[in-house]
Amino acid sequence: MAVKALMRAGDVPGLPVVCIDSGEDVAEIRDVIYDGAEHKLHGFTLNKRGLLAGRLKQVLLIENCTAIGADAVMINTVANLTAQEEAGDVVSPKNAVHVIGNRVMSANGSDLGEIIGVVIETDGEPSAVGYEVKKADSKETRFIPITEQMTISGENLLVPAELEPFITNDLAGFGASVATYRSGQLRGE
Amino acid sequence: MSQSFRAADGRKVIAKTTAEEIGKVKSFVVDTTASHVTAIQIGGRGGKAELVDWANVNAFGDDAVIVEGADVARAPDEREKEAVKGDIRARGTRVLTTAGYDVGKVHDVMFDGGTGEIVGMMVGKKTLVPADRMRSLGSYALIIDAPTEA
Amino acid sequence: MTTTQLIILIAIAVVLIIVAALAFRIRRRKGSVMATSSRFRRN
Repeated sequence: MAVKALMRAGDVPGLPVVCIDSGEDVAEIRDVIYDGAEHKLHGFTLNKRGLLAGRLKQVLLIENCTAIGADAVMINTVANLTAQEEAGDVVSPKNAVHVIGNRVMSANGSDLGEIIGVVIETDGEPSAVGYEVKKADSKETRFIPITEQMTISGENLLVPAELEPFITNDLAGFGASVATYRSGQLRGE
Repeated sequence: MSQSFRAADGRKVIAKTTAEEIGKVKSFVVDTTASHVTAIQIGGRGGKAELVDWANVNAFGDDAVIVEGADVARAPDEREKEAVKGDIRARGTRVLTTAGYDVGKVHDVMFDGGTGEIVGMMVGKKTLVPADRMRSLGSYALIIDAPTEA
Repeated sequence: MTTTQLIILIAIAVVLIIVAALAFRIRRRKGSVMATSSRFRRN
């Protein structure tokens, strides 16, 4: 399990939030909110548990999460949930834009498709690392590594032109692609 | 002497003072930290369940459970009601690691017949998870430490 | 229209309204992936 823990952000809404100290499910994930500029996850808005239960007036800040797994988001204790007012504007859908459905435009003006998913890395400091993109005329989806230079508006995602060679077709190869691109960035290529 | 929940199911419960059978082992109540058997359900169901505290069990033998007298049986408290109704039960509950992965269901629970201490749980039919990995047992899941990466 | 027909009609309407309300409730629970936008950033 030395592979980087990559997950589709779209799989996170609906996951139960479970306390490690009690084995109880105290909430479930509603929205996943990350920073549009720095790409670090800020946290989650929550629903109450149960099919018809409504929104919970508390949010979960990313620093209070113990782990984001495939089957649950783990917190140490129920006190790790934060009241919406205390959390401020960081984890509030009012200050965020929807990501899915944005058009991906490269800086040289070509349309690379539509965002159908966001890939997040869940170890260490959880952050968004890539977008899953699909062109209207194609069935296959491709993965674009996230860089500092990307700007998202809620309608369009503008990406650097030199990114195109790093777009890959599979999630497995994507971890490597992100790493290659990053190390390239580090060397100033 | 090591005992297991599955093997003990239906075992006779006998009162020492009268030598009469006062019930059968129906289920176990385990504490929140999943470290001890705190009580045994010997009869009744739901809110009318009859429980015997582990402290009142004189001997948990391979063929019978000996308790002091029929008067040690008592009604369940709120958490114990959840336990006897099956909302919080060790056997059959989902197992989650602290990393948020579902690794199966509890098939059986091993405990020390002398102390009531839980020594491990079978997750699925093949994997024995030792007690030192257990964090808590609640209505949603048994939480165990995620394996440390080699 | 007979009374029976009227009652059946009302019953069907009530059931439809309940189903629609439930569907709406379930749909409203659905979360999504969101990014904080620079538009909202005030330094």
